Amino acid sequence: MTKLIKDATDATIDSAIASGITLVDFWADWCGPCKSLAPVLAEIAEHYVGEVDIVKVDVVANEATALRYGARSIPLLVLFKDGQECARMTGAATKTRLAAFIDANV
Amino acid sequence: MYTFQNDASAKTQIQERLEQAIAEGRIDVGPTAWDGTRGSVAGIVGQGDATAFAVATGTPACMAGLLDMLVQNCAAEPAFALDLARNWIAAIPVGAEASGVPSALVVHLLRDDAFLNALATDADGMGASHALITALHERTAAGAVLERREWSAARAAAVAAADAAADDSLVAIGRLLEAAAWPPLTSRILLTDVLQAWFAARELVGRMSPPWSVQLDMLAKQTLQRLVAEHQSDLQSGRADLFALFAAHDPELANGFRVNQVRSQERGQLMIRECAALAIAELSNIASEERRVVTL
Repeated sequence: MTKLIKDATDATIDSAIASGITLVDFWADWCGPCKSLAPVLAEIAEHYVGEVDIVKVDVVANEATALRYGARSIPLLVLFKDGQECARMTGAATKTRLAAFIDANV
Repeated sequence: MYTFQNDASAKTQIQERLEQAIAEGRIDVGPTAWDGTRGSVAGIVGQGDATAFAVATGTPACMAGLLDMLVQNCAAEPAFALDLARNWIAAIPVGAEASGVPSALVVHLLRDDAFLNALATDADGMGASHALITALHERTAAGAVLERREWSAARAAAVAAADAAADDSLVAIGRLLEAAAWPPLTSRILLTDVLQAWFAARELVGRMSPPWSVQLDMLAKQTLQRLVAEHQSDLQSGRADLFALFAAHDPELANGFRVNQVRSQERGQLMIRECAALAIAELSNIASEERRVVTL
């Protein structure tokens, strides 16, 4: 099965969000709420396959991207449309609330 | 997909695998996991993730998370937890069709008397949302495959109802409805999400039942906050005990609060047992349906 959630880095983030709708998850290995969000994101990726790309950015390994998007509190989810930020939400979210966040902003 | 791929020896093999893991102490309590040797109950059963559990047992993947969550919540009583695991697998008949089980379970959880009573006086759309989502799961349990837009509309209604809810109990029921508004066969987390929300809603609705009340609960929490602020240094150094301060300040309120906390813990254990019994009963139930089909 193709991996639905892709990892982006400082070097690849621009191309990852350049076209279409992309949800970027800023996370870190030490972050408990980020880990509890992982299964929710996996199901959101399946639900929106072909409609919304899901990309993860490790804020420890990719400080420049974290700084650029002001990822001071994680998990941070930022929604992009053709490279432009259109909405963001901080903290762990349920599957329903995350789907509602995407639906309300795309 | 038929349970145990319609092969009685596959069920026996899984039961033996589980017994061996129990005997060798290779069961880990926690979310579904398998590292090749050790794992959660569902991880051991499927020798893999929730999808592997679904393939091995022929029951939907979301059942794996539910089984592991219930076992985890019974961890304080290891013998009961292990019997739960054994009984769960034993209850699944061979060669039955189990796709309706998650929705049947959700319907049971949503039809809880505590929620129906709380919703009886609601005029904010929560009752309508409850009826809609229950109906979707009833149709799914009966074998219907619903369109994505039906679930989307139900989710939107549940979110709107939760946002408009007037008190904490209704907000908690709203969160339960939100969690339940997904098709069960495309989700691995539906039942764990629903169960978490169900526990929270049941606890909140139960906690606010007479002789305790929302007002008393609020007053108790405000009192505790004030005592923490007033005695911060003594509490931090261990020279004072928060509950003793509370009891000295307002004995009746403190006692009511303590009794309610104890009842809350008892309710938690009862809810876990209730849900486990419900799941096992639903799994057993597919046997009788299967027999009915064969008889006809």
